[in-house]
This record gives sequence, structure tokens and C-alpha cells, in this order.
Amino acid sequence: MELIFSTLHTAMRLMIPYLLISLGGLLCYKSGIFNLALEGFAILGCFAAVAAAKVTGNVLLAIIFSMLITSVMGAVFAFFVLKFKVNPIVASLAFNLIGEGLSRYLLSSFFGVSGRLVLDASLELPVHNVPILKNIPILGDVFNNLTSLAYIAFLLVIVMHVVMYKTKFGFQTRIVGLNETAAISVGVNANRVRYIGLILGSAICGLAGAQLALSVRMFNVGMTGGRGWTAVVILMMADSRPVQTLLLSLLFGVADALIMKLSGQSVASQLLATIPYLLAFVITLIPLLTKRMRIANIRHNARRAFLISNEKTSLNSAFTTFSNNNAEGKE
Amino acid sequence: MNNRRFANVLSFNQERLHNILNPITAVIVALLLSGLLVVFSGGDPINAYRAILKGAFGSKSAIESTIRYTLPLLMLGIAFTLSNKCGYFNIGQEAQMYTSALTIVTVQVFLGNSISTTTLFVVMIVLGMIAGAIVSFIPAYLKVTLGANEIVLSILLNSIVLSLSDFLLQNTALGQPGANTSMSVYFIPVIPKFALVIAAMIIVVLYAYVINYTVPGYQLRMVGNNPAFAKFCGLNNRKIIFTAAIFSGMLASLTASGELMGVYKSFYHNYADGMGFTAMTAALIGKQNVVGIIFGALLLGALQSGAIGLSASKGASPEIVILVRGFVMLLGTISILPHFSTLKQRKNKQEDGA
Repeated sequence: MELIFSTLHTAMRLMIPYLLISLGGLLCYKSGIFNLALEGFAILGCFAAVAAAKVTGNVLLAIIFSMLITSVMGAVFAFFVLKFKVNPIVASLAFNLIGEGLSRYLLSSFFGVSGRLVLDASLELPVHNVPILKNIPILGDVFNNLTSLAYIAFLLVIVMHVVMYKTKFGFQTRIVGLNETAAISVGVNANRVRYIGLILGSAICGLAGAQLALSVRMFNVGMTGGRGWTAVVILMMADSRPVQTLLLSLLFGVADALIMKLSGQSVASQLLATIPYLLAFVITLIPLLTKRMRIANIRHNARRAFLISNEKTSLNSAFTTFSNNNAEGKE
Repeated sequence: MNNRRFANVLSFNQERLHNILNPITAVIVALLLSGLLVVFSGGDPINAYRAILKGAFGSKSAIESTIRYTLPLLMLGIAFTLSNKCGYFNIGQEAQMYTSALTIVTVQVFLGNSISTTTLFVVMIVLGMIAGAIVSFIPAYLKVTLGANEIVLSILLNSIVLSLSDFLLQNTALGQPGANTSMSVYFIPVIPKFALVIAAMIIVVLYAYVINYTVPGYQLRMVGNNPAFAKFCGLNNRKIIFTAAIFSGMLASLTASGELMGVYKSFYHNYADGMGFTAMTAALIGKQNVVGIIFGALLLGALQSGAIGLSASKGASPEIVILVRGFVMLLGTISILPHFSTLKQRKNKQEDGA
């Protein structure tokens, strides 16, 4: 029992980057921009947070700085995609390269190290021992002792849900994603909605980067480790709905936690590393398969109904044609 | 009337001019931007440019290394374009390369000492091509039948295959279990370097001929440009997309064979790191046109080989090359002169009206 709770707690800890990155992509996917640059934004957020923490020595400033940097990047991305009409896929792959390149280049040119930059112990993102929560038996074991960004992430899910379904901006975002021309024709400023979605979203990606980097208080080249791509899978599977995003992030968090627990045993780490990707691969296919099965089922039922109704009519029609033929023959 | 025809010719020329000028402007702007960044971080951009140029074209060995980096990019760029022409966005080329590399290693381990070198070589190439084709076919199949997003699937496949190949090289007889980095056994068949160049040239010419002057090439472009129209013309869209995907995977696998047997002579961990994306950049700068891809691959190959020169000099750290690549990719597809062309068109319209 203890083991299950501790695994769940680890899962909570590990799902936060997934959750934050996917929340960052949420608005932008809902408004119809296929943004694959989440990985690039997240790695840049990691680097910005660590660099700011190293320079200023303040965790809060580091978080704010990383949000600032990634939202500037998001604005540039939006500018290229919306103003210059660059293909979003190409632009986002380019931004992944730029994010990786910037973090690596600035790391070696400013801090003189290549590979990793470790911060002092005082700059670690603190975990909170929440007063009331710690006394509740099961919830306390699972949800207590998380970083403040983790609680912000859970809060953001609710905020996103409210924004998406209860506000004018959320409605505009959804309608722009569904049908841009229709949205424009009823007077929605589609580009403005997309700009806001992208910039806010990339700021949240910056939060994800700060959580990733500051909770282990170091920057490591390529430390996002494909989480941005997993977030894309989560968003596509969840159809950019906040609550489903939370649940799927939890699924990936649990998978990661299990891997962590297993890697102590004698299972090869490279083989374990494939598991999240395999999971993501399968998960992208599930909704498509079920949809296909549903369609096939409907078709099958329709065909059966058609055949049954046809059996009667075809007997009748065969009889009538037969008798008609006979009648013609007689004439 | 005459005037309008002339305007048409002019606009056609203008389009070609755009296609040539845009990438060049993009490259220059990208280099300037990264130069600015170098200045900002306290480096010396002039020195850095010089080091890159010297590392790419400065000596005989530098030119050799440029060609060595250009060839795989050229091949992969063509593989990307081939599949992209019919609407299949193939960025799983790294997965295809790793899989065919694993196949080649397997052949080397299990058949290496029992058959002659020529047979071994042929078996390696053929089996590698089959493996690459299968890996390329999976996302294409899922895209066509289920409507899955092939981009996400192929990127996930890249990571899966990379980890899997690491596992196999470190833990099984395919690799050298004692070694620090994962690397495989040495290959017996070795391709000489000039043969690589000639093979690449033959493939490029063949590709250009097939895609531009034959019926299958025309059908491929038709499916890419307007699937509905192609379908109503009686084409089997699925079959054509699958064929393109398979050939694209085969080309990627041939690239892998060339890299492994011509350059490394063994299979290293992460040997194709980022190659697929770089090749895609080359194809996009080249506007998916054969000559353009050749120049794009040459540019990116020169950058890659210049990065080695950069690490030896004191201008800037070599990671800047990743940034240059990113900027080139971002700027490469923008039409930089649309403002100019709209002005011209407006002027033409006004003249027509008058």
C-alpha cells in the first residue's frame, strides 16, 4: 500500500511537466494552429530559468524570466506563422532547432560549460507541506509535498476549463479553430485570438521549463527528453480539452513513475526509455481505431437493415417481374 | 493583349527569380542574425564566419568533409521531397536509417564470415532497403487508413528506434557489449568514397527524370497537389502514397548504407542525429526542386563541416551552427519579396485599366 502511494506521488511529480506543456499548447491547438514547437519552448524555458537563477539568485525571478523569454519566443513564432504565413509545421520544427541551439550556444558562451549547469542547493524549487492536506490520509500521501508550480498547474486546469467554456475569449478560440472563415464573418478577430493563445501558451511552457529545471536545480542539454512531443500526443488525443489533458498527463506520469521504480531492478534502461514513446504511439491510434470501429458498426447495422428490408421487397419484385414477363409472353 | 502576354512572361520570370532570391536572402539573414547573437554573447563574428568558410572550403580535406556531409543530406532531402510531393510528410528518416543500420549489423553478425563479400554487400543493401521501406510504410499506412497524424507518429518512431538500437548494441551480440559508447561490430564490405558520390549523382538524376518526365512521377505530383482530382481521374491514391513512402524509406536506407559502409565502417550510437531534420531544411530551402536541393544540401553540409573548423578557432562555440540551421529553416520558406511583387502587379493592373 505504501508502495502504491509513493509511486502515485512520484507520478504526480512527473506528470507536472507534461501537464504544463500540454496546457501551454491547449489554446493554440484549439484555435487551429498545429504547434509542434512545444519541445523547443520548454527547453528554452528550462535554460532561461536556470540562467536567471544563476545570475539573480532568486527563484521567483527565475520563473518570471523564463515565462517572459518563452512568451517572447511565442510572439515571434506567432508573427512568423500568422503574418508571414510560414507553414506552422516548418516553423515549429525550426523553433525546436532554435530552442535547442540557443540553449546550447548560450550555455557554452555565457557560462563556459557544455552539457550541464548545476545551481546551488538554495535555488531548488521548494516543496510545500500543505497544512490541512497533510492530515488527510490518502490524499495527503499523494498530493502533499509538491512544488508550488505543481499546485499552480492543477489550478490552471480549472482556469483553462473556465476560460475555454465560460468566457467570450474561449468561445472565440473554439470557433476560430472550427471554422476560421465563419469566425471572421461574424466579426471575430481570428489573428488576435491566435496571437493571445500562442503567447499565453508559450508562457505556460516557460512555467513547465522552470518546473523541470528548478526542481532538480540544474540545466541539462536536451533535458525535456521528448516531453514536448508527448504533450502533442496528449493534446491530440484529448482534443485540447483541459480535463482530459489532465487525465492523460496523469497516465504518462504513472508510466514514468513505474519506469523509475523498475529501473532499480535489472531491466535495461534503454528498453524502459522506449515505453513512454510506445505508449504515446498506441494512444494516438486508439481514438482513430474506435472511431473507425464505430463507423464500421453503423455501416454494418445499416447494411443489415437494408438487406432485411430488401429481402421482402426483392421477393415481391421478383414475383411481379416474373408475372409481368409471363404477361408479356402471352401477348 | 500583347502587353498582357508579356506581363505573364514577366511574372513567370519573377516567380523563378523569387525562388532563387528567397533562399539566398534567407541564408544571408540567418547568418547575420547568428552573427548578431555572437556579438551579443561577446564573440567575434568575423572570425567565426572566416572559420566556417575555412572549415568548409579552405583545404582539400575541408572540401572532402563538406562533400561527405553533403551527400547524405542530398539523398535524404530527395527522399523527403519524393514523399512530400504526394502529401506524405516523411520526417521519420532517422528511424528508417537506424532500422536499416540494425538490419545491416544483423546481416554482418550472422552471415559475415560464411559468404563472400560481394554477396554479403548485396544482401546488406537489399535487406536494409526492405527494413527502411517497412518503417516508412507504417506511418503512411496509419495515415491513409486511420487518418493518424504521420508527423507525430514518425517522430515517436524515431525515439523508439533510437532507444531500441542503443539497447541492442549494448546488450546483445550485435554490438560490443564491453564498449563505453554503444557501437557495433565492424563491417566487412566497404564502399570507396568516390563510389558514394557517383551513386548519389545517379540517384539524383534518376529521381529528377522520374518525377518530371514519366507517368508515375506525374501521377505522384497529381496526388499531392489535388487528391480529389487524382481520385476522379481514376488513380489509386492509396497505392501511390504507399509506393512513394516505400521508395522514400528505401532512399533513406541507401543513405544509411552509404554512411555506415562508406564513412563510419561501423554503426555508432546516434550516428544520424538530426540528419532527417537537416535534410528537410535542405529540401525546403531548395523549394523541393532538384537543383535547389543540391544547393541546399551543399550549404548545410558546408555549415556542418565548418562547425568543425569553428570548434578549433576562437570565434564562437560550434553550437551556433544549430542556430544558423534553425534560422535558415524558419526564413527559408518565407516569400521575402511579396511586397515588391504586389506593387508591380498593382502597377500592371493600373496600366491595364488605363
